[in-house]
Amino acid sequence: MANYANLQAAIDAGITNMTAKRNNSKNDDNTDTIATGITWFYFNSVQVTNLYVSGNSWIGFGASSEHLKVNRRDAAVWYEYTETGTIGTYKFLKLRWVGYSHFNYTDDVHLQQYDVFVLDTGQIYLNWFDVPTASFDGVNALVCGSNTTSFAATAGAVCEYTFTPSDAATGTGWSVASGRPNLVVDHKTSGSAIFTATGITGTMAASSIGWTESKPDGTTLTVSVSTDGTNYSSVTNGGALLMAGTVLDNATIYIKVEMATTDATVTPTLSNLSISLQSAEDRYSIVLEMQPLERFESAAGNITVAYAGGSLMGEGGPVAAFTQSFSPSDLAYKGDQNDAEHIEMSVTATGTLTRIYYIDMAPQDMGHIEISSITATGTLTNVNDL
Amino acid sequence: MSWTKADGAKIKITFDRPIVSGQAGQQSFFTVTVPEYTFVPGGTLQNVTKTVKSTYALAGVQQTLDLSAGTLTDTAVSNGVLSLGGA
Repeated sequence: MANYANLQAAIDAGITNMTAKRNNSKNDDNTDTIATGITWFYFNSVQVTNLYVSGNSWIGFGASSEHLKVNRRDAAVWYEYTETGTIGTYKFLKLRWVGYSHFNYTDDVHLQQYDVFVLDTGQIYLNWFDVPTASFDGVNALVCGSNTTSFAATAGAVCEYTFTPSDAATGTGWSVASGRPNLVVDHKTSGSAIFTATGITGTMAASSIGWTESKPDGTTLTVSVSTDGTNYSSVTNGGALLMAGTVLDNATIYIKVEMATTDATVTPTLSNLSISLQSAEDRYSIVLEMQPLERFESAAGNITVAYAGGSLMGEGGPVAAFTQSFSPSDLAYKGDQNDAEHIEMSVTATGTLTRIYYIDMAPQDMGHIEISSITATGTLTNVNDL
Repeated sequence: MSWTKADGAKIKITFDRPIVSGQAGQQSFFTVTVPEYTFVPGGTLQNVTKTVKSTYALAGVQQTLDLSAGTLTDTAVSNGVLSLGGA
């Protein structure tokens, strides 16, 4: 169950938080019954405890009847997903229908996908985000009892419709309008969040912090940092996280995000909060990475590193050419660096081999091989001992 | 100097003063020579020059914080996005 800040977030989530009820399995003319798990939605005076999802692109709300028809024709559905959650303070049930507008085709021109949101406002929201360009002659309508509410769609053109009942308690008296439901989300006017990074040790030489943010008009978002959880300093997006020279010993870094809005229908957002820390020691070092097939796990002596004098610049000037040897004393020896595993074994064998002969030369029989009187002695090295 | 033990793929060189620039792209200026036995029965020991693929500075700690693991006060996290909570 996911909670979204607004309808757009619930749409953008796609199938991320959805549960597959049909997964890559064609349903041509049958109807899947999907328990909704909700009690708050009624359609045609029936509590919608089940959805009935047809391969012919219609959905029944609480009854196996053709209520919502989306290019309803002889189509086929391959995937069905559902999700429940909240959008702000509103409850929703979301259904995704993924299939093709013709039962016998699975190409792009027939691809048909849409989301149906059932909301506790009593409304139904259709987000038809993949409209086929072929076999597009089906019926588009919401049918409630004897009342049919049709809506228009154009081949290949994305469209959205909101169906609203005159009586939300019973789900009757439906009307349709192009577009999305007006879900006024009532947010808190201020709030905060604190995140931590633990076990940080070193003398900070460089650090940074960054995030992705959205600040609609009337909202604010600030980020501050502390190493004691009490005294916070404001930081900027992409700026330094800590002052150079800050000494940390298994420390915890606290990052506080504070948000506020003067309009409760909108909220600032923050995501992708990341930090980067480089200790002073890191700045003294450089890493050489070898070609994958030229590793040195088979070194039988000292490794020698020579630098010919490139553009490596030290604090005191260019790094001079040097040659330095060191002993990789605890490398795990591997006999052949190109082998994932190298097995050594020593074996001797003595024995009397009996000639091998075919006793049946029939073509259907590839031959019977008979071996007897063979003995062997030797010393085998257990693989685990290598 | 130190080296990675697991696969013998990296060498870290630590200088006595900070490196201020040029850590990346220096591979052509480095030569790594390693004594190895030739891979034949009874192989002989010879110095093999290895090819350095790349050079780079140590990045230190880089961490993307899990927003859902934070202490939230009147805020909410959904799909990795922090926002003000519902009233």
